[in-house]
Amino acid sequence: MSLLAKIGVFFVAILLVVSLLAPLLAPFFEEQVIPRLGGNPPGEAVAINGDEAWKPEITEPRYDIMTVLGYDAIPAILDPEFASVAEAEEWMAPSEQVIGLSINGDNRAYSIPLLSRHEIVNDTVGGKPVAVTW
Amino acid sequence: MNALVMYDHQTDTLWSQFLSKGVEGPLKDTNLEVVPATQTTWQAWQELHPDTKVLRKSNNVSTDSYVNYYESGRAGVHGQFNPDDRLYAKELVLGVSLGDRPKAYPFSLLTQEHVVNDTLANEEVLIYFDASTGTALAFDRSPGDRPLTFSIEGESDGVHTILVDQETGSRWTAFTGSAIDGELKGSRLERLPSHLSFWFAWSDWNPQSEIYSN
Repeated sequence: MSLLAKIGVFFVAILLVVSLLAPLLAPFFEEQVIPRLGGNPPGEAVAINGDEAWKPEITEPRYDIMTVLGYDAIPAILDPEFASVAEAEEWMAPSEQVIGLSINGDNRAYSIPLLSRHEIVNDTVGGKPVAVTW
Repeated sequence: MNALVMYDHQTDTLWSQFLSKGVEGPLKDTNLEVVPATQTTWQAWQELHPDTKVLRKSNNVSTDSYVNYYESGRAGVHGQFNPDDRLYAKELVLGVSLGDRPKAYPFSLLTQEHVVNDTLANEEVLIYFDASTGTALAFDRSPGDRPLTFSIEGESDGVHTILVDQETGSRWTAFTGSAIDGELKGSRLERLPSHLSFWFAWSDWNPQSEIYSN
């Protein structure tokens, strides 16, 4: 098994683009912080089929961070270089999945097969510093 | 948690992608703004934005190294601690979280419905799904605080798909949420932050998530 395939085992794929530090914004994310590495207490209801969703009681957020891959084991892209549609014709397949981003009229595409090898692209789009993460 | 963290070069803070915030280090609890992006095919994206730039890559990076992972039953870094069996672990969902109300829209349902007019945490939500490109988008369907109810005009046609709202009969491009004809011509639906995710990951971070059903 190649190294990249091993990384794949560890990877949780999501589509998410994060941007500027905004300490006072996006408060709704705080509400969904429900770390529960330790598991549910015995006997606690886990899931209910139907309208009423399970509402776990949350005491204190807890993060257990362990090292499974070292720093830069997956190399982020720090100085991205871009091509035009015409230039890309040779190496982009029509059916290839991309993450598309439009900010202030600046449109960019990031190949997902490429993102799977790097996972993070540090870029500036439409004047806004962003991290495109996969 | 069952996901890798990122670090930044300036402060060495560790950041969670799913939570969009620092989880350890000097910037712990600092939030990152989520900018809505579009996951679609290269063909669809360049049709939508002929002037787009594309990140350079070498010719041999054409297959996704995670293909086997996508297709396998394996889930997460160390397997699942608390599997939520309401859906198959590797079912793809579009996760939307408004207020403290996370909700998952399973692709298996979206492939049948394409358009969902929903209400979540008192907000009017439009989910649009294009099966030909695997594109799932979430919009606020209350432009100007007037809730609209959408359906597809005729047949789905990839990036050319047109939505019509019941209230004004205006015509909208589905991929961009822009009104091109009718009373609301020139209006634009605001994109809502959403996560395209496997169910096991979404439910791991949002154990109280609702699931859309028809």
